[in-house]
Amino acid sequence: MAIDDAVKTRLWSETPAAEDDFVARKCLAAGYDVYGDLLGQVGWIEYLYLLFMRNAPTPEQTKLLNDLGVAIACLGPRDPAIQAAMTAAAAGATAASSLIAAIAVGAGQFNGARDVHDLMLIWTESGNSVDAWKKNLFQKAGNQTIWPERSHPPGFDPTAGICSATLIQTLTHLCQGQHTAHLQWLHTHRVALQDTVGMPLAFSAVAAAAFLDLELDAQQGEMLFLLLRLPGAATFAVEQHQRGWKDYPFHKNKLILTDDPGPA
Amino acid sequence: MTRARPDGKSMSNEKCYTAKNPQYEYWQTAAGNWFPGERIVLHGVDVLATMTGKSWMEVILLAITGNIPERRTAEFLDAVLTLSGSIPDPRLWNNRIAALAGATRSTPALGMSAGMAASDAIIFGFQPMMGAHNLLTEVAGQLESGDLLENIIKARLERDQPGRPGAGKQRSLAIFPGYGRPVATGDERIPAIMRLLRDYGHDQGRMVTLAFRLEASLQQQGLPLRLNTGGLIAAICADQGMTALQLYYYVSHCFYVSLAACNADALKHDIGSFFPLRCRQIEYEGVAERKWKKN
Repeated sequence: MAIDDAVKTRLWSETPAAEDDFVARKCLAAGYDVYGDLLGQVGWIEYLYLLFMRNAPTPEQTKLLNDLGVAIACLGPRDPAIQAAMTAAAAGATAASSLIAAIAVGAGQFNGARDVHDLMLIWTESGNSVDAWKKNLFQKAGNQTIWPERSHPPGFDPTAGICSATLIQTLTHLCQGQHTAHLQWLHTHRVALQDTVGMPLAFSAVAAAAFLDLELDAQQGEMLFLLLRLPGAATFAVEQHQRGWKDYPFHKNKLILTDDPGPA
Repeated sequence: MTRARPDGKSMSNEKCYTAKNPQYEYWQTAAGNWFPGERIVLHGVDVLATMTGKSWMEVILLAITGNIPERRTAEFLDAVLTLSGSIPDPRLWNNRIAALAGATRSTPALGMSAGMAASDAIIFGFQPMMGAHNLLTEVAGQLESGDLLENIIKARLERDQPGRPGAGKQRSLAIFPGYGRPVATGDERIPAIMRLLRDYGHDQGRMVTLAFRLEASLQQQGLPLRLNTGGLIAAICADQGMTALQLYYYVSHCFYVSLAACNADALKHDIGSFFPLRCRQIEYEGVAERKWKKN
């Protein structure tokens, strides 16, 4: 018999308690008993992979996702998403306000989650080919609706003069693992790609490569990039909330109004 | 539907309480409904049949209060927001988030909603405005009970505060929310709003009068706190019969203007150009460099 208003999912199943249909006695995630089997055995990163892919990761996949997670968990207080979280905290807003701010600002096309999404789509179509990237990076990245018009190809940093040593360290480390064809190709061709585009690589490209090596699709990659970057935003927000608004940049004399009608 | 056993015993070892969820099979509401292809109802009003020619503020107030307001009331409350709500300075915290979202080429909806969420702040926005409404309502009640304003102020000053609004581990609202202001000392919007109140005959409202009386008393007691626009709007809304929660919904509309202006402006600037910080602008105060342990 069909169930009214059913939630259909390939991920999650619940067995109700005999006493109350609204209380679960047992929960399965991708077929695993979450509280009777996984809890105490599975690592957080393994579980994260399981929730997204509905299969247990191999040790190599766990290590890759873990190490990527470490690399992007906290990009420092200069990162716009983290600045947004700190800004909400400086004003004394709620914890959720800080994370909402980090997600909103980290969602975009400046080393943001949309860059990860768009690059993963382009990469899937272009494959590991510098020539195909040359063609598709500029042509395929303009499909915008609610998103502002693109100013640069996804995965690159239009404001930086050089590729950061921290990014190169991350890429060099991550591509040493097994089944890392996208990361290895990106590492090998980084300079050529940068020369083609005229700007250095951004962390969003490293994340896109790792997600493709983990066989995630673009939507999953976009989600995970948003999620994995939250720890830094959260902890900086906690610190800034305590420091308050006076102990935070206000750029006091740095706003220049170009169309001032003058005093009434 | 499984229900709790009447004897309170459970099939597991857990005590079985009376389950409340099974009663909620349906959502009963007078707020609104959509009848696809036919009509839209908001608080008992057929929107398409009744609201033609009404102003946007009339619709907003219908949504907030459940009643279509008098046209002049809507005009007045619309004019209050026109003068008071919007400070489109991208350095202000909620606007800054909207500007950052624009500068990083996120979507306008994300930037503005995140800025709105940050307006739940302690030093400006929703918290002090609701706090001001509560303050004035409480003080009005105490005065009605015969307390002297001077004593009411002294008693509030003696209350335990969990923290300060500006910084600290347990930041909390100011003792007198709606008075004082971060960054600036005076509030340039007050005279214009008061002219408006006089035009509409609301300048002698009970709460507006009390707000200024409280300001004068604070000054007399040596506290350099001036009524700010948030406090004045809270008084205005209280005089219009709004609750603190209704004030929250009403005021949320004023933030839209500055959030939209700052987000749209940032989109016109170069990507990543909104006050980028140099590495040396991080002033580290932690422990010196050290090594992670190796297994």
